[in-house]
Amino acid sequence: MIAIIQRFVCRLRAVFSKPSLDADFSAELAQHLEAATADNIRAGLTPDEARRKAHIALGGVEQIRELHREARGLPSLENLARDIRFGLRMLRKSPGFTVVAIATLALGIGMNTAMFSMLNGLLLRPLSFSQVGQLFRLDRNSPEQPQADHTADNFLDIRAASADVAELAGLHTWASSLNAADGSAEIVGVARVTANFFDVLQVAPLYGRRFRPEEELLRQNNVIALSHEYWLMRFGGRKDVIGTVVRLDKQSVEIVAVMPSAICGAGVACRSLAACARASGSRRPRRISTPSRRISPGGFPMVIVMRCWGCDRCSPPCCAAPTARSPSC
Amino acid sequence: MPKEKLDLLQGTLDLFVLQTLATMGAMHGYGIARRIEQVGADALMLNQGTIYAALVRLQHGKWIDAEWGTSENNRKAKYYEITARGRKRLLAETENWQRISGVVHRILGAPAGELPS
Repeated sequence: MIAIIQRFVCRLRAVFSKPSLDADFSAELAQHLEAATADNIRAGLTPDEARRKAHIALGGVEQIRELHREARGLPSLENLARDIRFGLRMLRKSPGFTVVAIATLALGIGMNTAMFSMLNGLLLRPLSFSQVGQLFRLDRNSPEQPQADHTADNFLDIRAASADVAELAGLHTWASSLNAADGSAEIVGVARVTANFFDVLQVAPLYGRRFRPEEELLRQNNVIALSHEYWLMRFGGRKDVIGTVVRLDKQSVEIVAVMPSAICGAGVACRSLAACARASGSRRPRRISTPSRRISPGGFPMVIVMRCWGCDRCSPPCCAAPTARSPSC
Repeated sequence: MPKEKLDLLQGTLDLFVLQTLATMGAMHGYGIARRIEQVGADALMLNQGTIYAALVRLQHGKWIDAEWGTSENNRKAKYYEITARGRKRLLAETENWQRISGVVHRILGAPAGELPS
């Protein structure tokens, strides 16, 4: 193996020192012919005849040079380089064709890359939550409307019915306008979540604290947690952002937490939960406003996430909630 | 009409060069070619130029060394010399050839109707 590598290195070196090796070999050939001619003259031939004989015995000089080059270098590599140079010259000659070809390639590669990044995020990478086999998203499906969202009432019913086997969290995603202290405003994706949302996902805040149960109530729900990505992008990763007050949809809300990148990271982590779905590239879960009876039935659509204790990955649905099914199975 | 000459078998030229250098010491390309022709009693068809490809191959394998020197008639010439590694290879290859030629000889020389044991 080492010998093969050594030989390859020799050949590679020869490719890059071609002119000096060619000159070296020319000198060697000249010496060969001279010596052969001298021998022939000594054998009694005329100088012309002697030189002719020497050439015949050696073989065609150009052919010998070629043989020598092939033996010492990497002929396939040199041919490739020559082909590439030829190709480039041809491309330069017809710029129209070149542009079309490059654009086609760029589009094709770009689309494939984009498609793969999406599939990689959505399908191939596992969720990064702990004991992910216990996590389910509850869909509601009826003959008329498969995969409908839940209403808040529905959420409360299911939570009550499955309280001893599972913990449920609800969320509702929305686009909101956010004004930071410096007055700049932007539209961001916000998920309104139940206070236990992060407990169900078993994700602890990177900085700050979890939501408190009473913050589920109307008028006490003015707290938000920033996603890691948005925190870095908008607040430059400053830790003193905790406790800052920003305006969200014209209400003052306090930033109480920064979440680790596991959650809502690059629009990847929450995939099957549809939680912090890929919004405008920035999102933060906020409190759901009162998942209580005070919300009118069907007030807003909710996605329900469930952590089912004792459920193994892909066990049959174990939480006998009336409208629940576990699509992860 | 001259007697037909034998073509060199693939791979044997390298071996001849090694053998020549092992017995004659440092030599230049032309000298090696002449020596092989003489020892082969001109029964071999040797294109002298092909020696140089063999010399490159042998150098890459570190079986021989090359150095510019001065020839007997005071001209610059490139001299080749066998290395210890080259001697080892020569020994191994020679044994190999002897084995093969022994087998060929036995098969070709087997009397009709009788298989070599």
